Amino acid sequence: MRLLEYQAKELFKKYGINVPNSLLINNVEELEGAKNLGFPLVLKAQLPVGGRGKSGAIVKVKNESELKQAYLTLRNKTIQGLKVDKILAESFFNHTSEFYVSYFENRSDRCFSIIATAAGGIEVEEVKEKFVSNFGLEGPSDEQLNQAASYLGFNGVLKDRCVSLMKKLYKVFDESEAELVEINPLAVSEGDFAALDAKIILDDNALFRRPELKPYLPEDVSVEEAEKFGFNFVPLDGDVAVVGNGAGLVLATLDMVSSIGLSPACFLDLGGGASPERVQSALEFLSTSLPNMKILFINVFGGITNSVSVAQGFLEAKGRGFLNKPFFLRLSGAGEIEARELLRKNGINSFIDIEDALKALKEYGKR
Amino acid sequence: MSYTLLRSWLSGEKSAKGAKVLVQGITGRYGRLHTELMMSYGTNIVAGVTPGKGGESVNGVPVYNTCKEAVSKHGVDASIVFVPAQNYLNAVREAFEAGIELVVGITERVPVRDTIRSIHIAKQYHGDIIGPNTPGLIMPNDIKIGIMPVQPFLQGDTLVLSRSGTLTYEISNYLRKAGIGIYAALGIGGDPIISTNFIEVLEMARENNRIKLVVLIGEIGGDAEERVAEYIKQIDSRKKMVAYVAGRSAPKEKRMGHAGAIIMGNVGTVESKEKALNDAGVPVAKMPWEVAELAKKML
Repeated sequence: MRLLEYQAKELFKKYGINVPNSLLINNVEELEGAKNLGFPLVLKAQLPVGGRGKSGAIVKVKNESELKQAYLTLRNKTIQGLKVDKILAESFFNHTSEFYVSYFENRSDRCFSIIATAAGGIEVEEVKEKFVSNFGLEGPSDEQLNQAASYLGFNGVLKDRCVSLMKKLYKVFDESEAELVEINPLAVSEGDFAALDAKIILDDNALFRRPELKPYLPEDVSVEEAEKFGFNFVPLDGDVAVVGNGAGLVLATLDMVSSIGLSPACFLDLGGGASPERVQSALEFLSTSLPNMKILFINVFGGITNSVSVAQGFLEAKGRGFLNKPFFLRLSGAGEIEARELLRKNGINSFIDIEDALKALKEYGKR
Repeated sequence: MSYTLLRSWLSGEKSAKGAKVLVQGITGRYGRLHTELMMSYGTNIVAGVTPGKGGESVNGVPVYNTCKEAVSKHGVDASIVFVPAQNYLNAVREAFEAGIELVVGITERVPVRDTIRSIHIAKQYHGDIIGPNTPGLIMPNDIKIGIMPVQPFLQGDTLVLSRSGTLTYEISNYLRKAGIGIYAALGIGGDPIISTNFIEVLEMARENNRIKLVVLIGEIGGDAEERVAEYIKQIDSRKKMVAYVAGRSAPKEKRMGHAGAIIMGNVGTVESKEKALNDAGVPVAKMPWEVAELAKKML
């Protein structure tokens, strides 16, 4: 789960990491309070995406007379497919140079790493000159952090302050069980450091033992709803709802649907061993919570999941009126003959081969 | 250096048939179901463990409170873990402390830091962990320590390595239809950090001449497939391999079902993996069914 900037900064503040003064603006009425921050200030759309500067999600406001208009313009924007909602008003932090510091879980080396570079403010993957050092669960050593601070070109008091900041940042990383914490840019001005942006990605699987992080979790109603049922659900922009059993198979099915020029409306993994009730509630959930769905494409490879259970759940959903969109159903593997017979008796066509189901979808999509 | 149990199986030095297997979390719904299914495949399940349920039995298999008891009564080679994520680390620790050499972690949603801790424990005891978040391991006709359906897996000479479950079944089924059998199919796990990775498995199987082909089933996220490509180029260029990588159409920065299936910035795209594999001479199928066609050409 990726935290929004203002949430990550709240966490930073708790750990004593300096961030510019700011105020979260939920609506135009709350804008009044932003004036106390002084001018110039920056308005920053709170969206969980990268490259906000380039996509116009961050606006500098020079004086009070520009504030309201700047807010309203930003508020009405859609950036990288997401509607702007919350906006952070932040004091402009005058600074001389920008840096980058992050801790992340290193998948390849199965440990953690620190990255530091003097090229702050840009995408770190594009930076060739950077300090990277690995460490384990015990955290980075003082020597590693001193090396990182020296690499950034600091010495004397500034180096000590930089090391101290990196220690605090590690504490955030460790105690919130994050996959990533990142300050980009980290600004320096007359001996002061400030985190101008903040990015934290939490390990969702560790949240059960981090109750203090609950208030930070972004609300996504449809995703929460799906979690209650135990589905793995990712809403997408297109119009073909893609459902299947097993994450890899559903992911491959998204690729198949995209390869014939159609666009997926969601990723929904029923999980292993789905019962008829589970299948039925998945279809109910889609019909009520996914307004952009125009076609339903179901790909089930039976194994631990029995095709008959899928067929039963499917018929149940149909009986209750949750199948009000054109659908294509592929059932293969365990129980396929019985399942297809059951569907056929109820006037429903299904496919054994995924290639045939895809062909039929393509034909329909052309219309 | 002595071989680990997993390595001796994959290198062909030792048969896995009849190996003694323990089920941790045997009294849960999945534990029970899969104990029965593994036994009907012929896996030698000798005992189960659920703390507090010692003295019960599941499908005729005796249940103990601790791994230590189970091991002292039966002698155990490998363990399969179905316990909830909160108990995963303790279960793995207990298994290795009791002297078990191989742990297959079916458990989903294990915190990354617990996985890292469990990897340290495995190293300490010179054991192996497959997973977590894996469908497990099947060596057709010899052993199944996992949750996969058995129909798609015909015995043969192909090693299937994968980051996902059902996609492995689907592709193995296409292989079966094409008359291509399987030496072993192993899911390394769908998490960002996993215990035994592709390269380690390939290394274990390197000297096994019975393996004629490797089918690699990857997905978006991380650089595991790129590293395999590097391994093929640098270390084992004789190995014939075909691949499929899922997630060509996935959006960035969204977790697609598996915790590890996420594109971060420019890292973890299908394009990058496909290019690296192609550069190493590994053809990459665009669709799952094309894997079998490519495999036929290779053999």
